[in-house]
Amino acid sequence: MKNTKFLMQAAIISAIYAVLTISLMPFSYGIMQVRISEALTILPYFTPAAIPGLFIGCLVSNIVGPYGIIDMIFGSGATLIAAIGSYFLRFKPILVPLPPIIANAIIIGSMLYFAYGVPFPLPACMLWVGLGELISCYAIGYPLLKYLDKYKKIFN
Amino acid sequence: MIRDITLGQYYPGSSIIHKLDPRTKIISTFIFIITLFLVKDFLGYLIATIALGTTIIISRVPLKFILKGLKPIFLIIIFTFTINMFMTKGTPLISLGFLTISKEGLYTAVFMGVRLVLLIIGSSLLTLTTKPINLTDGIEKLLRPLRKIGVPAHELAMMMTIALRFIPTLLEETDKIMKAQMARGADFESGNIIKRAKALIPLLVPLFISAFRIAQDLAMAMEARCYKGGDDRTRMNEMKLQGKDVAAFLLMIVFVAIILLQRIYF
Amino acid sequence: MYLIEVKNLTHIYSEGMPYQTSALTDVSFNVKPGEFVGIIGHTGSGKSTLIQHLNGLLKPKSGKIIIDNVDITSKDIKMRDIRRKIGLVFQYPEYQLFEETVHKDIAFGPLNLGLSQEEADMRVKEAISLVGLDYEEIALRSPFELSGGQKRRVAIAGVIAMKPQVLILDEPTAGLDPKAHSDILKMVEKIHKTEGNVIILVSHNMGDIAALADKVLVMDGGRLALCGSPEDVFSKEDLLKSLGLALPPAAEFISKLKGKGINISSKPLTVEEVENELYNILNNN
Repeated sequence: MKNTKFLMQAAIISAIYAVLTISLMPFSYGIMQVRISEALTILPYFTPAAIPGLFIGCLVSNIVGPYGIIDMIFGSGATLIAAIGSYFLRFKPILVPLPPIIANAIIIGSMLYFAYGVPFPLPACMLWVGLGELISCYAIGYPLLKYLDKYKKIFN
Repeated sequence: MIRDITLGQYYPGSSIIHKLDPRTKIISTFIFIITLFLVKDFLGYLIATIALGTTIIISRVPLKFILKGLKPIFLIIIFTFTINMFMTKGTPLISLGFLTISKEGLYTAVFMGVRLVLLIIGSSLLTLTTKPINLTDGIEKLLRPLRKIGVPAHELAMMMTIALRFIPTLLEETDKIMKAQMARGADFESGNIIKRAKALIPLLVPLFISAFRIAQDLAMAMEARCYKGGDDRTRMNEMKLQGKDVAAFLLMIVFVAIILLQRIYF
Repeated sequence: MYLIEVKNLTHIYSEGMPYQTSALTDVSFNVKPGEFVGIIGHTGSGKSTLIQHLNGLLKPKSGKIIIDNVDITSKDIKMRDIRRKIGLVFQYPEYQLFEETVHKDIAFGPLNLGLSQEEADMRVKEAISLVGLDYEEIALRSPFELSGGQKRRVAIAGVIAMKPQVLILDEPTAGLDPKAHSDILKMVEKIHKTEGNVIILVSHNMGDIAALADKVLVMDGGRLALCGSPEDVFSKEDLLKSLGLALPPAAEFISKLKGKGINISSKPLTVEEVENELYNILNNN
């Protein structure tokens, strides 16, 4: 399972995630959470290496970026759960972007409400995060999935 | 452009804080953050601020960099502060037209604001004083006991290390691709959100193809050097806990104790 | 008049930071319509920075660039207008390919310029034939299935299809074997003749520059060290060597002959010219 190729693919996915988070920073860390890197949550459709890959990618983004420990735990946790969910839904491409939206909305929304004390009702926090994720995952991620589908063999 | 971003938040230095074992720092940061949520009044925050402030002074990281960590969430802080101030109902203090600031509102706003600031500064101190590579080593060591329940600590740490190594390479690649597509008229900056989303395809697809090619080459290179995965791999610099780490832990325990005592008795 | 006028171009990287570096200092030169310009200089001399200024990817700290009477360094310039005039092919351009078919990828540029689908389709056909490929055979294939040389041609076609007045190529033969190298150069020459545009070729290969360029710019440490015709530039052997640059192989050969005491009055730069010169010498003895 953890053969070298799998490891390298996961590592590269982590690197891409981190790079997209860093180089397109204003979108990622500002108030509007349209994180371009979240478009990568469709990757479990192509390879299970994306599950640890996205998880570590989120972890590393928080080491290299400025949000810090709280986002590291909750963000990475949400990403991991979402990636597993997407992997299980991989036979229905249109559903693949759904788990990240739900997972992030619930987990990050709660983080904002409880840990950061954002003064809006919990459902509002979740909705706000969910909306940002919706755009990342369906507007960027899904077309990306369709394009990369033609080049599936690079994942083998 | 992209070249200007110094990778990571690390501020080089040789203070005791810098030299602490990364595990110590990670765990201490955790404890600090959790403790912040145990505080119920401003006196508690004062204690926390003194503790944090002292640590900052010892680390010799300039204030400018400490405050830089607040920049990304500056808006959230202002936003939260303002909403709390105006929206919390209670005994009115000042009235500005139809907006009232209540005593409770002001209290809540400042209270939450202070907590948020301490939280962010506390965690950014971790990344300011620890090199990314040391952080990943620390995380690996901390995850090691979880191997018993199937968490592949070594593999995860390997992924982190390699990811870190390739971030600069892929940043350059992204820059190159962006410029090449811009030279063909691609526009990454203007347009509504849907338009900008579509504009990213010419950036992401080549980036992926490039990156996966790198991954393949790397896998071959590692196997050619007999890499077999890592249960018994040794490392060049083994991390050992030292006297200063023990001292740091003791100080953390004292800190938590003070906070708890303050909460219960004062 | 001139198609391109560069006046006192200066660029600084990372200004205000402790590691700021001067990438370009006071660079000035002119280019006439239809000229073939060669830029040489070794890594770090500022070649890439210079060409990125020419197509608006970078903005200078001071100085002006006027292309076809439009000041592209002014504040109100629209990117689209620049892209219309100047095309830039980066090194290893095949890395920019992304579309599902070759046709779509080449059409990307023209469509971004606002052309209609029909106009873009026509441009694609023209561009493919200009780069020496067969439309029927290649248009509907995926760019990723092609060989390295084909990919490169497709990538170059993607820029030519925008019909720029100025075409900049940054080491278009990088990484190619000798045959592919000369094929690509022949292709560049053909484009130059057919489109009549200005071609700016950045290269490490002195022989190529000597054979093709009307004008040569030598960059060194961000400054324009030499500017002139190939005869002028390559006759300054000592200066070039002090800048760490070599002569074209033909000129090098002639220089060595001169060193052995053989009197040569002309300045041959290409293999053919050397051949002729040798014939003359041998016949006269």
